[in-house]
Amino acid sequence: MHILEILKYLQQKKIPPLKKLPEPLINFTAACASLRGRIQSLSNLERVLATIQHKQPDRVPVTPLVCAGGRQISGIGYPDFALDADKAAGAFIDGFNFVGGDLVILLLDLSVEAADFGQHMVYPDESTPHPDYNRPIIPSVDDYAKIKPIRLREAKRMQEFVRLCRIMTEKIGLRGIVTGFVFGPLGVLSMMRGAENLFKDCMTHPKKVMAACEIITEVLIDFVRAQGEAGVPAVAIDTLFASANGLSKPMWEEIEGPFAREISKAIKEQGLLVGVHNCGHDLYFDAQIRSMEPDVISFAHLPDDCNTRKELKERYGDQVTLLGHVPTPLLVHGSPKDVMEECKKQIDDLAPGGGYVLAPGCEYPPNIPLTNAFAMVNAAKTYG
Amino acid sequence: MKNRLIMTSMEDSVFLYAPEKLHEAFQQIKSDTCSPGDILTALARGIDKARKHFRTGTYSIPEFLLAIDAYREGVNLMKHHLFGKQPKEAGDEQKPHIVIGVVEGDVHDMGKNIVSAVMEACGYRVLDMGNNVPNDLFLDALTTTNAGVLALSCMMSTPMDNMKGLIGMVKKLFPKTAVIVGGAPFDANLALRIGADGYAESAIAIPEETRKLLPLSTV
Repeated sequence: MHILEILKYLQQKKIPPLKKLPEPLINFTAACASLRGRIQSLSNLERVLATIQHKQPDRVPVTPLVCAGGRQISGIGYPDFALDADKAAGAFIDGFNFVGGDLVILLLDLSVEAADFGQHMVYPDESTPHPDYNRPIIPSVDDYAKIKPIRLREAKRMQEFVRLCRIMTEKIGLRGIVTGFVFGPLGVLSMMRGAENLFKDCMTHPKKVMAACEIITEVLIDFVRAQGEAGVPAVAIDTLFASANGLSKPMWEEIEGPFAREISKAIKEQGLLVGVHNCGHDLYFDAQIRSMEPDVISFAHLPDDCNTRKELKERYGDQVTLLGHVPTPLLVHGSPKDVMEECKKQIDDLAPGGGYVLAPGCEYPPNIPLTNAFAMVNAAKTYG
Repeated sequence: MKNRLIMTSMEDSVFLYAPEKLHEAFQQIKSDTCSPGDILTALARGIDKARKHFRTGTYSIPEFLLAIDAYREGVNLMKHHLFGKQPKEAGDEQKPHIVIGVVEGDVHDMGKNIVSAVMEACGYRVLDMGNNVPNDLFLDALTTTNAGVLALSCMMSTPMDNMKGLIGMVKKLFPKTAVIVGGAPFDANLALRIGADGYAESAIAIPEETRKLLPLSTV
């Protein structure tokens, strides 16, 4: 990417596609930020840039992942948050402005894609939307074959999500990195078949499952491209099934791995950063890195091949930026002091040398008070 | 084939999730020489073996789910095929009751389904209430069954307030009933803070946790 093109992005208060920047330029910028960070506070963007280039920033970047939790400030119900991009953007912006943080991940809910494939949904007033499991659109293994590609321009919820990406990148501008989101193909299928049936089908009818994954992946690739065109500099892929809560490692690599690779490739072709979000237990860092070569992995639990955080940092810290992993239960029951103490431990273990963003293991619980989200931001500023 | 070998074959059929092999084993059984208790024990051994393999990571969730299906198939075969549609076996009434379900506000029930099957195989009488269950139905079930344990789960954090309220009501109305909770948003601390007596980190842990709360000499 030419320097004039980069300047054009910056003049418009947009983040250029970071992977299209010349490597020496991005390294130089990150090194300068790291150096300046020793004597001055960095901007959110500089801080994140230095971190993902594995340079030491002024302090650890933080994202409390206040997503639907922002509704508490905006005063909107869950259906509006899920279905109306303007209102969802209001909640995300309120969360970002009020609580703080260096980046925003647009984790709306996990039913966006499945709804557009025709899955009947339930939109409760005060809880996350979910499929109507009494009416799955894949009631039997033979119905995988009935899944047909859909046109993105006719996909209402995905279109609304793309609009959310556009609004958010305009409103946040250069104040932080806005990250798009896509549920992996097995996740989408689990919404349409039911997780229990899907798990068994992966054993008994893997080819049928993979054929459906292929069709869904075509659509997901269009979806991530549209998010990139809407201006987000990064997209996260949710790969829950690549963990002990999902398939065995070899089975994941066989069934979803190739499709996750294709989605990751499509994100990278646009020059965007690839994130992976996986809040499962004993997740497979190695297999996911092989498949998607992500820049960032958001995790709730330690991977299957690491017993401690320090081991995780040692084994994977130079390959990816780690984002996590304050436990959800602690955010629910802990005091701000408890949360800050846990954050300190995580910062001590994972932050040295850069490549670490303090965050919860999953979305900040949407219906609890935001006090502990403030505690996380405060911990990054105090101990980071 | 001798009954002992048939029982081993049943156990393996569950463990190796091979329903065809299970059907073959049932074909060879003679009801006058083999009790429902023997068959249930063999089927339960298969589930326990699968559970242990799940604990060590040799099995993942899909294998475990298929083993549970095979177990349930075996129980149905026993009830409807071999012993002439007798839903209850001798001594069934003596088994402790467990009421289990996903609380109102959540529909994710895979974990609950696994736990339900594991507990059944461990010898408890399980009343599975399903998912998104209103609180008053849980209370009705406790009145009807006089269950020693109420096992509650949720996958999301949003129904947690409701769960806390339910536990409060159970403690007030059924002080002898122990409450175990499980699901993604929990850890042992949070379980205690919302008033539960026990916490099951996974389906692997639930039999041990239940035994602590509800000693069962037959298990």
